[in-house]
Amino acid sequence: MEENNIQELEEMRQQLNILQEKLDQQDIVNEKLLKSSMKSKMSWIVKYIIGEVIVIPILAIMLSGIYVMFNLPFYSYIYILLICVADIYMDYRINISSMKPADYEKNNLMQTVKKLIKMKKMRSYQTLFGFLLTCIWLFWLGYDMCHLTGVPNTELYNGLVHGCTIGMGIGGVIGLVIAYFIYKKMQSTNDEIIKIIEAIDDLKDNKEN
Amino acid sequence: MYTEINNKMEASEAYFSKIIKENKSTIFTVCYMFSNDKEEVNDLFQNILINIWQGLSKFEGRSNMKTWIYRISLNSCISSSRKKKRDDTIPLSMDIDLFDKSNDESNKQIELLHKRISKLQPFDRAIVLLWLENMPYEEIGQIIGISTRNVTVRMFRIREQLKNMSIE
Repeated sequence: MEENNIQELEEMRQQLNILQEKLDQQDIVNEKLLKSSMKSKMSWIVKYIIGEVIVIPILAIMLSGIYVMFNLPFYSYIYILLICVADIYMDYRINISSMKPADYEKNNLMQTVKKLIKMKKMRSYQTLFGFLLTCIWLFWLGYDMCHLTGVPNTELYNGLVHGCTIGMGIGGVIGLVIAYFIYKKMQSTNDEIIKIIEAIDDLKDNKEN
Repeated sequence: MYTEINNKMEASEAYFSKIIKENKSTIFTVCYMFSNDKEEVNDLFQNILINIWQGLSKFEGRSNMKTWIYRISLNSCISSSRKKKRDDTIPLSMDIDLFDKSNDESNKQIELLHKRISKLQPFDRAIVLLWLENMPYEEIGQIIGISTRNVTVRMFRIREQLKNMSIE
């Protein structure tokens, strides 16, 4: 009985060797993991755009308060509002509607790479125009703030005007810097996804070889 | 400074990949012996890889790498057996389905092994796997975290259980 038992354990040992030999010949498959990490990489951009849609109306209301308080002409307000709406629309078109979830699952991911490269290009144009138009607005607003009409000429009010002008100028610059970093992060997200696609392609090549 | 950090990270990743490649069959064997389906095996495999990655910086080299990998793999699988909670992850997997009921002779042998071992308690499975790898009782005890005497006693009970299985 004892001998049978030892034999059984020896059998198991041989079976384990068979299993491990089989496993040694296999590759670790992570194509699925790579594809899912591609999808999740873009998700922060979607959340950012949703954030824009929520925050910008609130900022628009606050800004309109400043326009009313200082009796500023509303032309520049309408101008910046139109730029913001156009920017949100372009963000949506470039980052969300141009890519579908199925694009990350396709067997031919080279189409997806082309879309991602086009996305980067469109984003660069959008950022460049956005920056220029916003700078125009900042100067325009600064000019209006320095040429106020119809407001009391008191020390307090003058102090408020100066403070707001400087604050909005600094805020504008900080906003542009933040926008630039967000743009860079979006571009690098696209680069990472392109690298992942290249890695998936490599995996496929290795399997075929 | 960032280049140095990046270089260290790349070196760690390369070292990690090397360890996984060299020990993948060990890790996968443990996972296979602790689960009943392909998805669960893949979940366990992924969890073990995460634990190895997190533990790599703390590995002091007091035991050899294979022993350390076994310790992490077994502890992960034994805890999972207790928790049986499915995480929301996309699992890594090997390119092989060991639960495939094909007529391949090697698959039949593997299935028989799986059948025998899966009837044991999780703790005993760990001991048997290490014993089948020709590890001495002392080393088995160090990996599992019990005394050598305890390993001897458990091995005796495991043999009895396996004997009863073959009688059934």
